[in-house]
Amino acid sequence: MTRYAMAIRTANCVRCMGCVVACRAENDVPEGSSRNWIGQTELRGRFPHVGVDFVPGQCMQCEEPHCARVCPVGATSKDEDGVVRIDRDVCIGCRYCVLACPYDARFANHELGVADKCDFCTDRVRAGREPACVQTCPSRTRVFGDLDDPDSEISTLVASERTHRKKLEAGTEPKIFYIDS
Amino acid sequence: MEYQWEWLVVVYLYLGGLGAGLFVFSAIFDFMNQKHFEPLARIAALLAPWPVALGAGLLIFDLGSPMRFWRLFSTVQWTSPMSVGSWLLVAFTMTSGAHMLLWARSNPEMPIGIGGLHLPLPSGVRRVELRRTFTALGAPMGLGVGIYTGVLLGAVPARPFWNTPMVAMLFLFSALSTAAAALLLVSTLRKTTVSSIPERRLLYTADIGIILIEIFLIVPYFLHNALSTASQARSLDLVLGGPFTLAFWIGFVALGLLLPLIVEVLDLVPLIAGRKKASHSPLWAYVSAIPVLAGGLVLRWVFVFAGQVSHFG
Amino acid sequence: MSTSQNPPREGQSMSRRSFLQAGTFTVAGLALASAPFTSHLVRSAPRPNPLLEDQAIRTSCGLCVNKCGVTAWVRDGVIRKLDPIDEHPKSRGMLCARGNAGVQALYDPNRVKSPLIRVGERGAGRWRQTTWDEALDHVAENLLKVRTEMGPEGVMFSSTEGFQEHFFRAFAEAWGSPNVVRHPTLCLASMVHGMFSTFGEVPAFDLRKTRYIILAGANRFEALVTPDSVDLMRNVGKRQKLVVLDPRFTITASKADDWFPIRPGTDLAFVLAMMSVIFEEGLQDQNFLDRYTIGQEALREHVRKHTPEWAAEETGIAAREIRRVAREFASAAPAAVFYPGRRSSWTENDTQFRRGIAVLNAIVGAWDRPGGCLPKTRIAIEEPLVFPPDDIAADRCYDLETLFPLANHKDGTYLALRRSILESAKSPIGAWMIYKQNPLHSVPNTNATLEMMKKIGFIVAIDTSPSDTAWMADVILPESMYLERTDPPHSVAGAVPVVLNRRQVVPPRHDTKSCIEIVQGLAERLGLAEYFDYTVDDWIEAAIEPLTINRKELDERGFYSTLEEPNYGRTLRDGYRFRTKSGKIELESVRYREQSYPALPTYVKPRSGRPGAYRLITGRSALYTHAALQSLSWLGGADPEGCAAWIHPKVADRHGLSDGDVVRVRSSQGEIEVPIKATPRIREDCVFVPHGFGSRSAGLSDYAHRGGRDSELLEDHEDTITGNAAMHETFVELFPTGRHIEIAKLPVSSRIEGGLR
Repeated sequence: MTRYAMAIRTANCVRCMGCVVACRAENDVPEGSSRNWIGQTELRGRFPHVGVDFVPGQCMQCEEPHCARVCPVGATSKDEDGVVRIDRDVCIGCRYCVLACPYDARFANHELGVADKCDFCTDRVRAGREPACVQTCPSRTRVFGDLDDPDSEISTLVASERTHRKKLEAGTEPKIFYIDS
Repeated sequence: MEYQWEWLVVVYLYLGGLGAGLFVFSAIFDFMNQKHFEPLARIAALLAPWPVALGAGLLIFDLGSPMRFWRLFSTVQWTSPMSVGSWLLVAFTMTSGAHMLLWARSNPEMPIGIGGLHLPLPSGVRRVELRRTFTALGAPMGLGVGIYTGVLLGAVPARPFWNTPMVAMLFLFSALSTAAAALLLVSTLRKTTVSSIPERRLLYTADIGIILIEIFLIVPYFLHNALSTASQARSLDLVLGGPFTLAFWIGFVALGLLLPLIVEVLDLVPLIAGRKKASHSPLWAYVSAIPVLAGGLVLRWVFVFAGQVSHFG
Repeated sequence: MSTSQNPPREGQSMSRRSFLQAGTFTVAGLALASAPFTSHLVRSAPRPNPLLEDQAIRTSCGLCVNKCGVTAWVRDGVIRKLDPIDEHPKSRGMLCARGNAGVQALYDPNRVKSPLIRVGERGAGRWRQTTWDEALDHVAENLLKVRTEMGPEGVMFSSTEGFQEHFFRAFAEAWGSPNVVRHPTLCLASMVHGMFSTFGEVPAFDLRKTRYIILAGANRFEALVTPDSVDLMRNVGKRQKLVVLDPRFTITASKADDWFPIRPGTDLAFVLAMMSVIFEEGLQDQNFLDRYTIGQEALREHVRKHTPEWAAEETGIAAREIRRVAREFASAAPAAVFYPGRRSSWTENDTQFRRGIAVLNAIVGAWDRPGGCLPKTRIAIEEPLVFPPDDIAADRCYDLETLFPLANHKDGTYLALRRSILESAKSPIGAWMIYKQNPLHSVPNTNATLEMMKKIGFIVAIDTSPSDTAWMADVILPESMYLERTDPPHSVAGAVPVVLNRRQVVPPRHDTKSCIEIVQGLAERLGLAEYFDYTVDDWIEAAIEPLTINRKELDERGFYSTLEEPNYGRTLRDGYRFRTKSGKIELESVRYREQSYPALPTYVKPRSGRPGAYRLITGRSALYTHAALQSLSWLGGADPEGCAAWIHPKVADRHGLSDGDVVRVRSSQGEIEVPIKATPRIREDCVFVPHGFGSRSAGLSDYAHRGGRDSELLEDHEDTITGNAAMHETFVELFPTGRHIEIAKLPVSSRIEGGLR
């Protein structure tokens, strides 16, 4: 089996926005929306001992996706490779899934009248390439791979590094692993 | 973040509840089997399908791809409140529609739209029994639709402001309350049945009871959220000092619940005590019915919008 | 409106999308028509993968100086996506945000689509579209008129680097004008000089192996993404210690182990104090000093007085911290680098500071060893056609040799040149040819530049977009974009040298030409055709002759390189002669002494402003290239706060300002209105105005119009040795305007997170 996932080395991220623009270019994301983002923590500490972190985010490709659960027409589903995908030919654009995502990773694509979100660049991965955000990243913040392949870089990282996942209490079992440093 | 659901959904949830509530009242009045409540049961039955159908239309219009709405009915997704709700809505609209047609025959001079329509029935079918079969079928559906409008929101853990069973209850009782108010309004507006004392007493009593239940649902709603996850507790800030505070407390609680409650109690007490003749001024009815109807809309507005602002985690 | 926040006008940003979707619409239409008859169960049927049909063409990015390796994916003649070339030795498999936006830049509706001749007042934006023949005739006619009246030196040529800049410069040479000015004196001239006068060359830095790196103002993570940035980013937190001196808490500073908000202009004090600690405690690499350098005794004596306590007074950094950093740096050496920065146009004493950095790196022996400064090598390619044979007879309109005897005279110095024009009663310059440059933003003191333009009768801008400068020109000759051109290969020196290839991916979308075609068109009309009687293809064939690769292979690979890892120690072998006058690393510069410049890195106290004035500091964002690309929604839209000026919250309080309030920033030379961001990420005595915003050209989208032009404020100070513009010598005052705009509204792509977990 294949279970695609991503690890994110937050410490590397410098918020250059390469991933955000690459995603927009690859996936024709309409203006005003974005499939991925780089969050920024509030400034810590007092001048001059201050700190800030940059936290990339996108669809967490949950094992138990709420978005799929609430879809009234079955347009969203988790595929055999562990990626949650939207069938654009089926989606009716009710946006229930957009509201059901604890990560706010979905948006309404007003140009197509459907829900939209990261799908780990399905076509690229099927063509043997990395997702656009992963390949373009200057700081090698992102590692993409198959959790079910014990030899993959991501499996090694998840096994060896201290990682955390976001909003686990939502119960969706996200598959983006943030590497603590 | 932009709002995904806006006015169309607010109105849809409102109309869905209103129609469902009307049907439930029609059923209750019908089964009370008292001649002088029959006009109310009929008005409710004749009104019930319209808001629901209109609401469903709005919902379709609100879709990103309205032309694909039929896909809702090409599948049943048991885990999706929207899928189950859509089917329920269709079943209810059809049942209440048939129900309406069967009522229509009973009173040919009814001026309300379809009132004069004559639905021919095969010989041997008894109209009242057939109608009551639909009433029996439709009443639980009506309750279901009323609950569904709240479950649609409540079933989403990602929106902590919504994520409690109290929302479904609150929406159901608010639906019934708006239905009672709508009936009061219509019966007051219609000269023929204006303010028959038993009707008014009945509607007031029902509404007072429902409003009290609503008030006692607001308390556990707050308790439930406050004592639940941190995000849920935080989401209450939206109506406790946050941007929706005024709408919730003034628009819904004060104007939509307390004001009509007081008016209705003040108007009802003398009626029950029989100390005075019923006032034929429709003012009292308007002053209680219109705020209830408006309050119900405000409630849905607050929940639909505030819920989308609330975030998990 | 310099503070406009409106998104670009309708229909300005969708062109590539509509291109790509033109085909899809029909298909979608059919699908919709048949939709009611298909069940959604069809969805699991395998879908053809359109990416497998895309054609991959390798080329080099052209949006900044770095020229990263790019694979362009082409479908039906339209570039669908740009990806990095994974194994590219220079760009290391990355493509930054603007590199990714190259597609949008190509299909940008704001491009100049045909030659334009001005018909209204200058800057009024009234143009006549014309043919190349007419435009080139018009330009040639005007140039000839100037030549008749003033000689060839009456035409000024200015340009910025690029794969085709060579042709523009060759044209200036063939034409015979000495009044040529390039970008270095707006950028790195002082750094280059500081390194050159010490090492005889500008080294690369072995940042992959460095264990200790100090960045003084060099904003490697925020201002630009080049190989050095990439090497640093990938090493953050690993075996490396990063120290950042910057008056702002930049993104770079946020990754540092130590951030010191140094008082602007005092960096050399920090460097000198580090040297004094190193000598005092015997931490220098004595062997290295003895063998490879001259001037160590003089230097030791020179820095003795520059104690950390003295430097603490100057820099505002505690003496014990300076001591600690000096010790840590020396103990990490030779795998330690005090990084010299790139845009080094800061103060009038800038070259001395950059020399100080070079000398500091030298005294710990961080030279030509793993993790230190590395001498560069270059792959030899042919420069096939050299011309013209004669030296230029005419004199410059300013006395560069006297003003800046040691400066790189070929590049000219911008401010001195402008001054000479402004100060002459009759302008010595009658026509100005501008290639790939936007002086209204890039040269300090925009009002002075505008004054100069008034004195020049005829101005031609060769550009891809209607920049502010192009907007003020008389003729705009639109150049084809990098993705539409085949350019001569470029050999880039480095620790790992590489030859970069640029190849046409799609034919020009509009009626544009590449620089060589423009130059040939003019040359033909001016009787200079003999100097340009070749094609780019001829050039490429000749250039790669010495390489072990043919044209086809080069096109397929996209680059050529011979080394995987740097060759260490080449300059440390016996008999190596450094390219300084003495042949050694010059801690004390022989040439400087000859010219009566301080031969040892010598500190000058920074000037201070009037009471109530703040030091203006400026800087760039890696999302844009100087004042270009702000117009693109993919970039500008991802950066709503980018145009805001930073002030410290206490300063904001003092003026009653809060985020989004529009403030008038005034210097002795001009004033702009910008929204502010109050943040503890900046020193209280500074105001930061980001570079490149506030464009006036109506040909650009409103994203480019946001904010204000820092150049309008900057006074014309220059570095005493190189003439490099000194952009951090200006003081400004703040005046609230009472207006407010929403800048805090974050776009979807950058949200505030509650915390890391």
